[in-house]
Amino acid sequence: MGKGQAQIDNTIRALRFNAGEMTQAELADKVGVTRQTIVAMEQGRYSPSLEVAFRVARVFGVPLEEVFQYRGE
Amino acid sequence: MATTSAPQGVGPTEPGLQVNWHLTLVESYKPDAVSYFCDFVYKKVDIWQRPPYPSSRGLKEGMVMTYKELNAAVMIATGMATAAWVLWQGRTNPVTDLESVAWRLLYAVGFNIIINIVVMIVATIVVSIVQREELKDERADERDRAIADKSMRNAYFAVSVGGLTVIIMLAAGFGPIAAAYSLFSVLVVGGLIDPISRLVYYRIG
Repeated sequence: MGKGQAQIDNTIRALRFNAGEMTQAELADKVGVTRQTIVAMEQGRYSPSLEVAFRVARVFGVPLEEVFQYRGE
Repeated sequence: MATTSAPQGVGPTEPGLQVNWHLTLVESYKPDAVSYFCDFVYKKVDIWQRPPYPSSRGLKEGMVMTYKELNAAVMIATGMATAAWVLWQGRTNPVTDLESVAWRLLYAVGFNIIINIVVMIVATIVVSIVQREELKDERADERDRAIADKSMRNAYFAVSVGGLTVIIMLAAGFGPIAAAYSLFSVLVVGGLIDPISRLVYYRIG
């Protein structure tokens, strides 16, 4: 959502796969958002707040840059 | 299903053969239309008590509707129905005094609230059955709040412009009845823009 949404890529799908095919619902529970928000993030339709981004990274135990990559100018 | 012992005088009477008699009955059991219907009703009624039952996860992502999306869709439908009812009343049973117009519009607001509740209950049940999963409202997260804020902003903008238009109409010499109907229209439009915006933001992003 928002004009800058396409500027941030993420590897959530791959990280979920590496985490034993963690479901979107499980990730949503751990992060504290709805499953629809995880779906929107994976599809690049929503850029989360910094806090949620850190929580996602913490769930997978990786640095923030490994989950989200800024590819804007 | 044939799980009881064979009735007296029917089938073999020796104990050893009775087992085979039962197996034969079980194997020959063919579900008929009534059985299919009973099974169908059982699944529909018992849907929420049986988590292993196939859930909405079997549906494509775009086909699954969340409670918040359904709420927005119902608000759009009931808002349009209310507007249609007011239009229809205005054409078939026109009133000329301001007080009657105001009462009619108040009835319309009450009508909208009631059908919104009723349709929401019915739609929740129907969508739950179709999606094979109880449709429940989840706690709003930051995305829900952002979407609600942006939708509210859009509706606020529409109502502001509409309110200004009504004042301009009054200044231009339009009568109070026209102004009352216009004011109601502004509220309807504002009430529609909010859920339409929510649906668009949820679905498209």
